[in-house]
Amino acid sequence: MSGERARRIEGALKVTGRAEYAGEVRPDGMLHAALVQAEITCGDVVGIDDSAARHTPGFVDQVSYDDARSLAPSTATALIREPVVHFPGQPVGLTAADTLLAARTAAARVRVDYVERPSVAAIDQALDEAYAPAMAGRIIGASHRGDPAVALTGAHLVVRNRYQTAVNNHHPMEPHVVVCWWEGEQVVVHTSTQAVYGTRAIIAHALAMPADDVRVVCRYLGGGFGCKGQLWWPWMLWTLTASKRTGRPIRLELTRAQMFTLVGRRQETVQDLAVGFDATGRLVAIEHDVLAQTSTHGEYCDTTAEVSRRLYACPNVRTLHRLVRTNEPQPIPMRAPGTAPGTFALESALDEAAEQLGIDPVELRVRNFADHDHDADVPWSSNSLLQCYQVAADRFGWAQRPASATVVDGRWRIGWGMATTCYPAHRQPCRVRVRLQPDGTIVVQCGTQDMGSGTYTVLAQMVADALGVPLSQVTVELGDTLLPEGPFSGGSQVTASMFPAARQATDALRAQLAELGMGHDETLADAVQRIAPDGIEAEGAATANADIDVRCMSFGAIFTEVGVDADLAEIRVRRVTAAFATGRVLNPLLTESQHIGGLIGGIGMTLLEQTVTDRSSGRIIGDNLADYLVPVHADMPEFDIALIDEDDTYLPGGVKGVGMLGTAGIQAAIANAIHHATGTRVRHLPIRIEDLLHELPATTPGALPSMSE
Amino acid sequence: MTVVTATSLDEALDALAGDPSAQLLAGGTDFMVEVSFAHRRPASIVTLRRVDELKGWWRDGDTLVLGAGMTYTELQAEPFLDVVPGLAQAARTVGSPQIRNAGTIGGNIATGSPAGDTLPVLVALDAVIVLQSAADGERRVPWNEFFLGPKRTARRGDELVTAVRVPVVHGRQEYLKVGTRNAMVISVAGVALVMDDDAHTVRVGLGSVGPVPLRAPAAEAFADSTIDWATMTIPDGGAAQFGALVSAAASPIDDQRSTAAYRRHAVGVCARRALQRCLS
Repeated sequence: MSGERARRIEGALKVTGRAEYAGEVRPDGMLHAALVQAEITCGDVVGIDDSAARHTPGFVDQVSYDDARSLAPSTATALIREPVVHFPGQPVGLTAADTLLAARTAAARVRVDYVERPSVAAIDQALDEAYAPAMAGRIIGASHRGDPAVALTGAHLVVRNRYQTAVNNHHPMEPHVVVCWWEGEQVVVHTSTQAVYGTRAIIAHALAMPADDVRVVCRYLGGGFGCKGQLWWPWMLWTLTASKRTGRPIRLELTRAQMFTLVGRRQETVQDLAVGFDATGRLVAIEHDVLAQTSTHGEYCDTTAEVSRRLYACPNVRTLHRLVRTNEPQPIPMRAPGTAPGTFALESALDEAAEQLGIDPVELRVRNFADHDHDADVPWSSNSLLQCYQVAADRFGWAQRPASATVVDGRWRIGWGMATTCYPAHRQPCRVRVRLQPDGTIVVQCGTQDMGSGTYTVLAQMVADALGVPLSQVTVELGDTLLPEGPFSGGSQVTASMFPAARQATDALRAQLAELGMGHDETLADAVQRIAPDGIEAEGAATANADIDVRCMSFGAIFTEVGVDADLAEIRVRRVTAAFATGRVLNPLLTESQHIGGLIGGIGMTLLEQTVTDRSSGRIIGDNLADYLVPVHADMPEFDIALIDEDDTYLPGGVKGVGMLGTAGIQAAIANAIHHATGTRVRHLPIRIEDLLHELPATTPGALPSMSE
Repeated sequence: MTVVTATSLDEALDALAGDPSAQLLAGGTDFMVEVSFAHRRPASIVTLRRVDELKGWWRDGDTLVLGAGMTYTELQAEPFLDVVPGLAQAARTVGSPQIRNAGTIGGNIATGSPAGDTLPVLVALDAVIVLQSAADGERRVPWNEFFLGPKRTARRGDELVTAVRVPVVHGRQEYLKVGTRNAMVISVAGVALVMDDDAHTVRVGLGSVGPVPLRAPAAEAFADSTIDWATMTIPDGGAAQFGALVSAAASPIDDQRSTAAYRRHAVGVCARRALQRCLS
């Protein structure tokens, strides 16, 4: 069993600047690319005149729709093959030049003629066109069990409210970048991606090339959070097209402003939720209707109502997801997709119910614990949620919770709140190669990538533990499609996917050594010198979870204390105590770090982050990190993280993902604590000062403050 | 675009005399944002970082003379924590350590943003801005004749802000700031309070609640006459009334960071708290 608090093995490389990120690759003769962006909101491109651009000193090439017609049709090529503008700022062409300045100057000189069409710039401008998608993420979009309408009619208490969450953007520190060049019929692509193999597949398909002729490399990522995936592919493919035609390496890096429009967003939600209880506080019915935004060129729906289907025991549940197409950027998953907005609604509603029922919020959740997945009617692979409540409540001191709106600390009104979090524990197919070198050291290879979360380190730990060698003897190679195929980094799946494959590889290596006559007391270093002087290697492969006869999920309980300034209504999260049950914990240090990072993202979503759109043009207002606020160190509370080790015998290796858990639940925990501090219930995110100052004009979602600067 | 890298005050002044439309660049924390957002593309730039005459500080009797090139990092430390604690507090609220290493007090003054963090302290101290030009040499302009409007000042194109003169005042000072988060943020409202224990006066400077940094004369007069200077106390309700008078002195606007109503409210609360801290 692992469990060492090992630090990131690549940490020193990163902090000393020796870790080479994709954007730092600088091949000889490299050109720089810039995007030409649409100035209209919706319409057709009817003409592109680059004659002025071509006179820019240093100009080399310009590509647009005509140059991408030969690419295979797919969702990755639609926006670069079809001259249709779906949202403002959509790229309509790409320039390549000797310098970045020349590329941008040339891009500004490309003249584009449009035929505009009427646009929809916000979901409330086309409510009558809302439709129910077949799927929400990887689940069916609508669900129904029992008879919730009748059950709500007969319920002792019904809490029925509308909850709203804002558009968020991912904003990893490292922007999207590609540096690519052609070697004959083969292409080498260095890009910041959460999926080197997925990127390779899309390039091979678009350019009708054998996959082996495409090499995608991403050794280090400066964060992803869900945006370093498919929505970037069209612009990357234009770059590859230009590189092929010019015969020169080309680099395209997105600007921070482009990171607001071209790589996805967390979709806004309007959630109508009704929860019904009997007199003892047991849930009798849930109705959860979600309305969300998607684009006019793609369909994406978060699994927002999934938590209402299975987090608690409830006989009567109806959920529905609906989408409205707008001329805004396309949403995609963002850390804790679905569960972040979904738990905000459900866990706020439970807090409202607890107060009205006169039942402690933790006790109410314990009474409604689901001993199996009521939605699919299958057992959990493991579920330690009750233990999470108990451990976190004890460490937080929840038993001493005072009455609402009674505690003052200087200028601060103090409130306590809690909420549940959960996320599905998925796995993907994965291959891992382990090589014992002639000098006795170990090289491990996997074609996945490390988003910064610690993938290098946990894979090294898995192999070091299995082979009984020190961590320092293990070198890990990731982020290259020349390595055995590994999973994409998303949905908290990589560690759980690697574990069984790594174990199979180390088992196979040991079996080979045994067959070659490795002595019982012999070290690996001695054995390899004696019986396999050229070194020896083995591969392991694991498949995805079947996930049919059992439901695999991670759970957690989050408790928080907030202070609300009595006069200024500034909101400060003062401390967070959380307990998470995620199967076997391979590295407590990195796991805590993941949870804290997740919680920080959730605090940002709750109190600060909001992408604001102009309601007439659909353009993003304040597309920079001065106006789009994320939390800074001075906004951070004390974190106390408890890790609940679980023995999950169903999952191979017993490992569940950890990355998403902290970014859900925290929103409702904070909103519930604010209510406890002030008596004011805020049912939209982000929660702002204006929401808590009643004598001043309140902010209402959809009617945003004027943007004069 | 031409760039003159001045290495002496004379070089900088000569460059400005030759091209009064030149953009001045010191720490770049205001100007580079405007470049980034393509709000400005000046034809010529004069850089000031290598002008040694702008660096450092000295005493001129009871007046402290702060070189325009002094950074926030320098101002937030000793001896300024003791001598002008309000200014040190204000400097510490600016940006991140990197921004504070780059940004200068001269830049804060010359940019003249109503949200400039040091400006409420400077106006509460009745600061005098020192300007210099090749043609006319030095001239001194009181703060209330220097700040003319949002990012508009009395500085002529051929002039350089070389220093700012502030009196050394015996008494407590506070700077309180409200922002949309707890650090690295542009001020939504800022209040500086300077107590003069010898003259028995209270002076208040306000930021982000008007086109220029403001004073609150009615509030000051109220405090001067209401505080019991022997015991350093104020009667019950006095601090609240002081805050209300400060609110009344503000003339804020709505923008994406906050509303006029909240800004007016916030400067009143901050002023009340600042006074209570100074009297505690």
